[in-house]
Amino acid sequence: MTRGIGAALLLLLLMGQAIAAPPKRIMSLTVCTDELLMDLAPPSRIASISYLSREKAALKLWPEAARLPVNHNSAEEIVEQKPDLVLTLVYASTELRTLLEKSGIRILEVPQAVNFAQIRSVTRMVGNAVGEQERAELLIARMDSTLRDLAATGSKQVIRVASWGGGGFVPGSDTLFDAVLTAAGGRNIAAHDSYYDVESLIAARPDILAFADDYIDEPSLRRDQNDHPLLLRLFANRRIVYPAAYAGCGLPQSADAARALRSELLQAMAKPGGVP
Amino acid sequence: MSVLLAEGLGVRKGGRAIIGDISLTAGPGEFIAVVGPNGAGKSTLLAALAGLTRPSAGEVSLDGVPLARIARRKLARARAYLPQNPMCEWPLSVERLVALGLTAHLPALGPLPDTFDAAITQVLADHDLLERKDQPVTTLSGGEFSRAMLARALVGRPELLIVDEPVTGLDPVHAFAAMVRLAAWAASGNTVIASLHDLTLAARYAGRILALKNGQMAGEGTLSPTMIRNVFGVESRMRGEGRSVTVDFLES
Amino acid sequence: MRSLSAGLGLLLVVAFILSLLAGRVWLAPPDIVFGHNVLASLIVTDLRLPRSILALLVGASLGLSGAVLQGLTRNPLAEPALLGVSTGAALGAVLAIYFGVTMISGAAGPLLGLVGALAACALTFSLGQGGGTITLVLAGAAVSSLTAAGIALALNFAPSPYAAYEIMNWLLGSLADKSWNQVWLILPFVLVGGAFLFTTGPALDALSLGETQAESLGIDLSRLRIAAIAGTALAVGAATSVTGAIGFIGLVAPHLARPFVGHQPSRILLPAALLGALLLLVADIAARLVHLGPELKLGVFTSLIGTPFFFWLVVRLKRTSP
Repeated sequence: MTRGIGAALLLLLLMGQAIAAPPKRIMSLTVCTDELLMDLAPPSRIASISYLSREKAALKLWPEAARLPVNHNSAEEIVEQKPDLVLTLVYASTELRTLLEKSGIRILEVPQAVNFAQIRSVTRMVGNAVGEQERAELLIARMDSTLRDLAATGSKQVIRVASWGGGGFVPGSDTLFDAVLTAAGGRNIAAHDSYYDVESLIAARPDILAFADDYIDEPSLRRDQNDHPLLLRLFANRRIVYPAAYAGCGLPQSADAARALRSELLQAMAKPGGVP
Repeated sequence: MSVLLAEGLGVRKGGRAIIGDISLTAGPGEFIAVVGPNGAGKSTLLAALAGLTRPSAGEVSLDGVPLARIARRKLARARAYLPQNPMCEWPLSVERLVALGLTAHLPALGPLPDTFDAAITQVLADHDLLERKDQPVTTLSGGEFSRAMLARALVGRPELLIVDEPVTGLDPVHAFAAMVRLAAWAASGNTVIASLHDLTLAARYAGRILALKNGQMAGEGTLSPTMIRNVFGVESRMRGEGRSVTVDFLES
Repeated sequence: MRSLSAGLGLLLVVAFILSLLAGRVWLAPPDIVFGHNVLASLIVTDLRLPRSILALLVGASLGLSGAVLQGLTRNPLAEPALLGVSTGAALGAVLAIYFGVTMISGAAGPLLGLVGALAACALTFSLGQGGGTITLVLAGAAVSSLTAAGIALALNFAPSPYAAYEIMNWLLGSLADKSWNQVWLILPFVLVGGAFLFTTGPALDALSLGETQAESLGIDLSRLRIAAIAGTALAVGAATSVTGAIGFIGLVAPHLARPFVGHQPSRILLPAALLGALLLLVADIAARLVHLGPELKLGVFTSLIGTPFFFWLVVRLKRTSP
């Protein structure tokens, strides 16, 4: 909370300089800030984005990442690329911050957005920092319009959903997944982040199991749990896969994710399944 | 009736000949004592005669069949062997220890049939162990333990009994008692071969002496000062005869 | 021995029933008997029943193997985990799971676990046999380090990023979320391995008198060793591939049984198997009842039983040996 305020204050202080001229060489060190940056600023003003944006799941949704230079979140690259603005998440290391202060390079530490209100404030924050306030507002307006649509056309049906495949860890109500799920019209079985074994999972009687798409096909021990025969039987028609990216970074696109999720939920509910 | 025959028996270990060119015949009723200095190869000879060490030369046969070709269990039923300082790893009761002697008589599946109980009880009585039969062997005295081991060797009624140093570490009373038992077993129509350091005991109870020196036979037959000189290189004097003969070494 | 085995059998039945009832979701006995409650029936038939049976199979394998290994080596510290067999099996299973072999065939897990167990066992025995207690245990420790290094190496190359975390947990042993698949998978291995182990009884008895006397009693020592090692590799190898490396059961079960059956190796076999099953079942029930986030691993509970016992054993050995 204090970090958020701190970052906002820093932003205000620096805004004085920013209004003069928008930054021309922006470096983003983390995937979430990469994606927001790619949505807001033209490629000509992007010095580099994080190498993690070239992972399969991320590339699927932001193909332009393939055409941009990458960095590995290292001090050497910052010195080399000489950015005038560095975007990173709130948990940047103190060494990095000290280095940037000493070199006089502007850094913006962006907090994680886990609900739509925070998505709005973060989008505005970055939009202001990179000098693309209008574009930021446009994205937010689009997001809000989608959210209003979803709210208006929502059904009364209670759809209980469990995010599964995380080795038993089910995200709760302070997560992005939960926000997207709620907007889509589903209800999370977990009030807060919890651990469920298969027994507890079926005792909670979810209607649908939702799996993130990263590493879902990799051989691993958690297949015992993910693919337990009982779950395969009960939820044969009630399994949906959602892009892991949409649970990772809070962005205006999260509203689109909610819309896609709604149609998946309704499709799945049309078939029989769940715990009798 | 079983006749043990060794012809040109030799055993090599680690490139060295431990024993060589040993030939002997042993028949029922015989009690043979193997004597000789330390390192003469007595233990190796006994192990080879028992069929536990493969000879590198020559052959040992029982009733005309080479030991190597007799099935393990069949051989085990016919021949019992006790090494030097036999031990028992677990604190079994005396009765269970003795019952182990019947291992080769076990049926394919299941425990020892009750018909053997009488044999076990009998042999316990013969060796004065009946009142200790439930006592753990680890709590027995040296003499009692030796008796228990001998009992376990005899419970299967072996036609051939081979014992390596049966009286080492026993007090005179127990030593004599052990020799009496061995002689009695031979007298019942079986063959007994034992290695001994005590020449007096050997002279008194064994029917035949086999002397070893440097792995070769250095004497056979009745013990005499001549034989002793050949084998041990010392002068001796023998007095008395039969069960009261004594052998004294003379200092030179 | 018969009354001991009967008593243990009874305790086992009680523990088994408790295992069906206990968990994060407590069930009442009428639920499992009458089956009106659909959720309860699902939990019992698809989750708790296979899990409890697995606990029986794995625990019995460990207890039996420990009894046989102790009889074979005449060494009270012998057990599959200490001799590196469990970690060898774990290495085999890690390779099977993380390199996708189990996706080709589920049997790859127990098969590779068996191979790993066999290799580890053979290595430990060739290094340490005939050298006394210390040598054997050191050989087992050496082989355990070797396999642990192998597991770390395998994890480096594993495609899944969760691999290290999962394996660390799994190595501590777990029966969580197992299904009938695993039961059918390991059942043949455990049965055959168990059969091999049970046949060693009379030979182990004779071995109390040392190798020479045992041979003179007609025992085929190499056949005995093969039966013991093959049986251990089959039963413990397969069991470990499913549950991870569970220690101490193989050590403790025979020791607990021994004083009741007069120390005769062949009479320890069945009670040790039953005790092993009982101990593991109880440990598993305890693991389910402690609610601290993710389920506590079985290894925690077996260590709670086993480590103090192990220390006591070492102290006692020190006192009684020359």
